[in-house]
Amino acid sequence: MMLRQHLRHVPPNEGGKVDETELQALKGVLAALLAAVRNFSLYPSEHSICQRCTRHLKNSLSEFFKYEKKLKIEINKDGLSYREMKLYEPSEKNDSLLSPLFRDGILWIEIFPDIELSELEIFLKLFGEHRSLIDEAGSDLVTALWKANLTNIRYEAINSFWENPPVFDFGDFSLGNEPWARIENDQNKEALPNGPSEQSFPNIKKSEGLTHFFELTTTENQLLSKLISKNNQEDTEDIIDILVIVLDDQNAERDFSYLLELLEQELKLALENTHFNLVHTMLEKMKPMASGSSEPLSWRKKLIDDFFLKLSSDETLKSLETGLLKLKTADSNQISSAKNFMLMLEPKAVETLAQFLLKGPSRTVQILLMNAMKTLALRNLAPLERLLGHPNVLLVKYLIAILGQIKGRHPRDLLLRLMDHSSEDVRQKALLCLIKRGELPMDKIEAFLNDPDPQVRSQVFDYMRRGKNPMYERILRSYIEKKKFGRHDRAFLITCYQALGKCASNESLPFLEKQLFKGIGFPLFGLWPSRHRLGSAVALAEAGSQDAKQILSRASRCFYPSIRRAYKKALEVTAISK
Amino acid sequence: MRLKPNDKMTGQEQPVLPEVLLGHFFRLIQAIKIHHPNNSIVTQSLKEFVETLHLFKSDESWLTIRIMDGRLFFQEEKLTCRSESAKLIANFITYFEIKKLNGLSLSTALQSSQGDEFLMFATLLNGSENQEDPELWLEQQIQKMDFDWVKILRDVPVKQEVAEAATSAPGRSPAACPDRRDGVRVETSKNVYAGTLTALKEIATKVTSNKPGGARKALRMVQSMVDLIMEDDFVLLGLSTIRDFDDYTYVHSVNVGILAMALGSRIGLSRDALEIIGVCGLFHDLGKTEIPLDIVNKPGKLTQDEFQEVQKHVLHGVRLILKLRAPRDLRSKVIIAPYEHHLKYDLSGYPQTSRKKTLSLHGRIISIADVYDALTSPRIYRDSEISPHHALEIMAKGAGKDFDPILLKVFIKMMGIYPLGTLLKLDSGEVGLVTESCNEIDPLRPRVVLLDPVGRNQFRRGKTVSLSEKNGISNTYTRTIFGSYHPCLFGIQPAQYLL
Repeated sequence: MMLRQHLRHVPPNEGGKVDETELQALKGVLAALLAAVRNFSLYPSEHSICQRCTRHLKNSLSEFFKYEKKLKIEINKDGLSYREMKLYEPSEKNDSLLSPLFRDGILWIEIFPDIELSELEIFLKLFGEHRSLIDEAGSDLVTALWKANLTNIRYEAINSFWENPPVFDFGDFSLGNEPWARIENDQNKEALPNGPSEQSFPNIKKSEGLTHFFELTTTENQLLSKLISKNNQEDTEDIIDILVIVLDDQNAERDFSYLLELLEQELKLALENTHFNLVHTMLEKMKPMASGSSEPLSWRKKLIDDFFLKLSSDETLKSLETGLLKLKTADSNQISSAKNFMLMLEPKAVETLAQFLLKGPSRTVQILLMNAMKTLALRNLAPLERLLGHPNVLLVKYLIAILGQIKGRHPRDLLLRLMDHSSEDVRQKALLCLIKRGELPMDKIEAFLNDPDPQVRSQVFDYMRRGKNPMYERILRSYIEKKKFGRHDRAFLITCYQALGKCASNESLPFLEKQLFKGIGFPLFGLWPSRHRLGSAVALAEAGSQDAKQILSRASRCFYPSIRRAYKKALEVTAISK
Repeated sequence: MRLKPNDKMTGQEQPVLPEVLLGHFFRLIQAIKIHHPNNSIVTQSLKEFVETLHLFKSDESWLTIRIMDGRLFFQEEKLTCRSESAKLIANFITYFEIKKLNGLSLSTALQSSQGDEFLMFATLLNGSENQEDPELWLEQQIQKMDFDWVKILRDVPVKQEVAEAATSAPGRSPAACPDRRDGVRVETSKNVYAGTLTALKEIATKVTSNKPGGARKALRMVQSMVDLIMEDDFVLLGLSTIRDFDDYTYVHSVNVGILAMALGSRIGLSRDALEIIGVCGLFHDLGKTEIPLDIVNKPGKLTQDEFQEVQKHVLHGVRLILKLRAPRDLRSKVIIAPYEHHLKYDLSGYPQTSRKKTLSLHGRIISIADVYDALTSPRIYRDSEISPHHALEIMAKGAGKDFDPILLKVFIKMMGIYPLGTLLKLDSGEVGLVTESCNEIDPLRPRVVLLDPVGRNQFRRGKTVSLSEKNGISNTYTRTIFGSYHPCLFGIQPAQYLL
């Protein structure tokens, strides 16, 4: 449909040039080209639609090349022509096919039968990229095609920049005011720089001959090749070096600010390419620019400070992320440079760095990030604190690990706050941290013991039974006394007793003795829950003191089978736990 | 929108001032078609238009808008069709094409009090398409109304076809002629040279007035030069003998670009690398635009302070290159050689900074090309001109210290002991200009074109001879070099005789 609108119908064999079948093939090429140009302006080149368009164009061209050895399309302001036949006339001024070609002064384009799919793709991609231009910027369709240097697409372009294109005229060049007058007046003109000059080039040996002298030796050729191959390598370091030198030379605020913008771009690129050391060195060089600024250049300090603030922006850190993904984990220098760079960030960067942790980086990068985050959090805990409310449990667990390494009351309070977290994993991790820090607060222990997560409770017990502790002893005793344990809580109750036994002194022995022998002589002796009897026996066994052993000895000889059973079972439990 | 001519224009988001002006102009002529002159839309459009026009006042007295071959030129430069302005430009072109008008010039001195006159003119402009000869009719009306702030432009006074043909991309043309002095090739090269010079001057003018200069034209020219050089560097090397006493810096920069690209090509650099090196050559002295002219043009020796001032051009240059509107990677790549071009191979020279790294390949090449062209150019501070041959002698003494010895060797081989355009005095009493310096058998005996004197310091091109020609009977050389001179001592631009 579109094609019909644009193609002026030409009767077959008009002018004896294009027959009907060839014309049909040509129409096919044009339709495919139009569709491809349109789609390349809408989608990225790797998009399936673009890929399909490229293949379709290639097929259409193959069809056309059955009739011709090349396709030459001429361009003028009204449209495209083929062999002086109007092929395409756009209906609007800003046509996506004609406009870029005409705008950039392309006179004709030739496509040859050997054209590869990849060449067509590059051509269409460039077309899409240069559909519109940034005023005066360095690249247009012609310069881009030149760079692409496509083998099977040729073109000719005029420079359409000037209303009056510059014309060369020798008269435009002056040699000054009759400079030759000097030689006319020179009495010694015969003695001016003189003749045959082997002597003038001191290194030339007569025997060698001039021709050979100017041939490069094998060594020279090797050195030159090395120099050329070095030249082809990346030059980010040189660029940044020079940028910093030029930056330091600036006395105008506007220029300084502009160069900082460029440095920021280079810095991002360097980060993406894992040049962490380079970035770090550059930033180190920039620091004194701010501190050494005298009064007239005091704006420098602010601009440099702002620059350093910008390092922590999401945009810069995105480049860091790209770089970190490429980081060679075996390269300790690279790792240390990356760390040094991260330590120059603002604490707010923790919020972005934390996100990287969720993207499954290598273990090395994970540690690197966490160390950096810890150092940044030491300067200001607020950004990390804000993240603790993040819905991602894994992230919060990472943060807990960091918090655990930061000493002080505020991190401890944050960890405690996390004990109210809805996730068992988080509570458990926080508790572990608190335990590791030795900062489990007494007044919270009972609450921890009631945590719905058995793991959490078990951790608390583990912590409490580390050794004799009258505080824990009292807490546990009171907890066992007050809490109503149901039948299903048997295991938990035993654990409570076990912990009590570990941390108990002789102060608890009466309580345990009472629990063990409870109900003797009462008619309802059998109703006393066996779990308490067993628990107290376990506690006595864990306590291990002489007095405790005596009580247990009594239990082993007791008339009542349930007490003897408790004794036996306690020994088993203790043996297992040991 | 309030913009000043010096406003920093970055990227696509901001309109450039000419576009703003054209936008106001177009809105105004559309508004007056349907509204009464007192209507607020018209008065507001007029106010904005005049205000924008006045922003140009400090730089320009007249503004020219021309439509030519479907393109819009503002102040003789093509207005780039950005996506943001494409519609406006297309509308503008259509508006003028329908009326068969070539364009108009507007005085920036137009006063707000002349608003009524402008509205009258806008009405005339709108109505001109109904006239048989709109241009003539408009001119008559303007004369009748005595509007001295507007002029109607007539046809373009240039040989457009010649110029266009001569500046097309030659490397892409399938019918490249193998003849070194082929007319089309020479013409193409000359016009590329002129285009490069113009592009460079435009950039320099813009950067000195603190306006953003774009590198697109220069890039296009350099790419054309790369194509020419890769095919055969003879013509462009011939053109690099051009010297200009008055406009030294620009001609020097173009020459340095050519010499550097030719040297790069000899050592087998890729076309991309040649492009970069060409741009480096072109921009290597851009910083000189910021050095006071009385220092740049000072006859005689510079004082310590003046020399320090001159040295600043290197860092100024890097800054100016960085401020050009060009793709980031291009800008970054072309700062290294300009930064290094006054550093010597042994790292002496200037600027002396904390950076102590061996010079880059591009820096070494530019340094050689720069010194050669500078030595062989007539300068106000020099008592005597140095012939190209003598310049190479001087440079050869600095091999390994001032210059990379290997590259210098390749450069001397490329230029020949007696470089193209060297003026030779022969023992026969004749004067010859070297036309082909690279005699493989005997580099000391180049081919020369004999110059026949036809008056005081005027010569006619004579026959071309080889200095290795021998007298058949005596087996002695027919002509031997007696001395070499700088051609400008005789008022000669060698390229004029070479091409």
